[in-house]
Amino acid sequence: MNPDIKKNSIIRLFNVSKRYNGKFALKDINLDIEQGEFILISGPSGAGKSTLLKVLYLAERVSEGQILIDGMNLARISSSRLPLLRRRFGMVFQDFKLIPNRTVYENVALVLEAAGQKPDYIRKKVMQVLRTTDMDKKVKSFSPSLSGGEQQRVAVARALVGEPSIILADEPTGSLDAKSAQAVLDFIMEYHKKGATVLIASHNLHLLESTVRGRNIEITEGTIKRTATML
Amino acid sequence: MSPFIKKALTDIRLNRFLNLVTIFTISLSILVVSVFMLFFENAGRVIEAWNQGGRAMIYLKDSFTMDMLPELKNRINGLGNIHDLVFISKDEALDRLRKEMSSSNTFLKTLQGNPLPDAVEIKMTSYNSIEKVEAFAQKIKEIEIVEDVEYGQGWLGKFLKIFNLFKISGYAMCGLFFLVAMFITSNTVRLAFYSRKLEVEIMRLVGATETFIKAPFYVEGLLQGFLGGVLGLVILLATYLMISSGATQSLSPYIYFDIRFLSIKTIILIIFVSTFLGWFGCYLSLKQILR
Repeated sequence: MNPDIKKNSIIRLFNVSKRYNGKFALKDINLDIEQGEFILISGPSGAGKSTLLKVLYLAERVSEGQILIDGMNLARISSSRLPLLRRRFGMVFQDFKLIPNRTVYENVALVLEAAGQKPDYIRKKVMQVLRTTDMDKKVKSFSPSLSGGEQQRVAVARALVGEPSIILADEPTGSLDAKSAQAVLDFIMEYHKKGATVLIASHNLHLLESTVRGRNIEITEGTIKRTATML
Repeated sequence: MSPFIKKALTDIRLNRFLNLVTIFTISLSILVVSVFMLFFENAGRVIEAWNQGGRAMIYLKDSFTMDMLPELKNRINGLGNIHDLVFISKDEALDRLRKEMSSSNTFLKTLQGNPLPDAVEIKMTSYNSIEKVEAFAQKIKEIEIVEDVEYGQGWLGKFLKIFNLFKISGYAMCGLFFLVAMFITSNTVRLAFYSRKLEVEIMRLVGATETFIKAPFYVEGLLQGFLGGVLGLVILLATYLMISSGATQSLSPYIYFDIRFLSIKTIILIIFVSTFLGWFGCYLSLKQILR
């Protein structure tokens, strides 16, 4: 038995490989992530950090190997059950991925509407999470009128509103100034303290290493080169 | 209001030009179809009216005298299919003619005597075909005192032929224009989908089901079909109101029916089909895109 496998693992990867046109983006990845753990996935550009996140939320299927999320084998998830898997994740992207012709409120509410929540609950919950991310005064604004930092705070609010057990963030501070980046990380960390598992793929080692306690998994050319504990 | 309807209305508002063009184009297709339906319904009513009580005039020979009338009536009634029978004497016929041609009275004043024959006007019960009417007229002609029978054989035969021709081409045109309406909706939904590709991608990422993603598009297709159908019928109604009164008045001496607008049943059918086509166009488009 692999000694790295822990009892309360929420994410497990077994010999996961992903190939694009025969070239490995991920190669033979074995990983075990505990519930409530904070994981920093670091490495140079093109190392496979984003691909690793993509195979977790099934934007991409693995070429080889298996992934278990909270006991669910991703290889066996049908397209009809895929939305249920995705609702377990809160996702944050470098380019925010906000719907430009919807207001801040509507962008955040989308998650709960998609989950079939009642309007009263949606209103209450969205306002609550927007207050947490200091965006409650801009509920009627459209995303193109916001600064990068504000857009990312809306994206974080959207990631948190469904109270997911796992946060996946792909370069969440990549296009932000230092102050905004710190604010975004603080919101994620605040949520992490409540027991959520967080995986952040980022270049911004300095900021993250000084902010969080967790594991740094360094990826190079699709393979795990090094694993280190932060703080 | 359902969130899907709200979303569809918002999308229509955001892409109002594209949606207005679509609704207007669908309405034109529906208008063409409705014109055919209007023609069929009215032509159908003419035929039905004729079938249910077609008239014929039996013109009698000059040798006819009033004491022959009871026997003539008996013989005509004996042929069956007679709903009503009225004798019109030559003097009565001239009076009627004078009233009807009051503007050309000078011509009638120059007449030496009465050139019109005595006649019997009959109303027949239902007939399904022109052949049966012809056979019936032939039997009447065999009565010695009968000079001729006039039952509109000329115009009726031509009318039936034209009607049947229109019916066939009408069905083809209706089918064609329904297809046009469907492809227009399909194309609009496709354009709307591509313009909202990012939105669809984000919806999927946050765990929206395919039903949740597709529903607003379907509602949009349904609304386009419905509004296109209603608008097409409104245009037809406006056109009908503008021209029908004049046409009915000018044709009234020659026809004994008025041109009516589509029945409620047909209106509902057209709107239903139009709405369905909006939905079906959307279905085809999404099936292709989200394969």
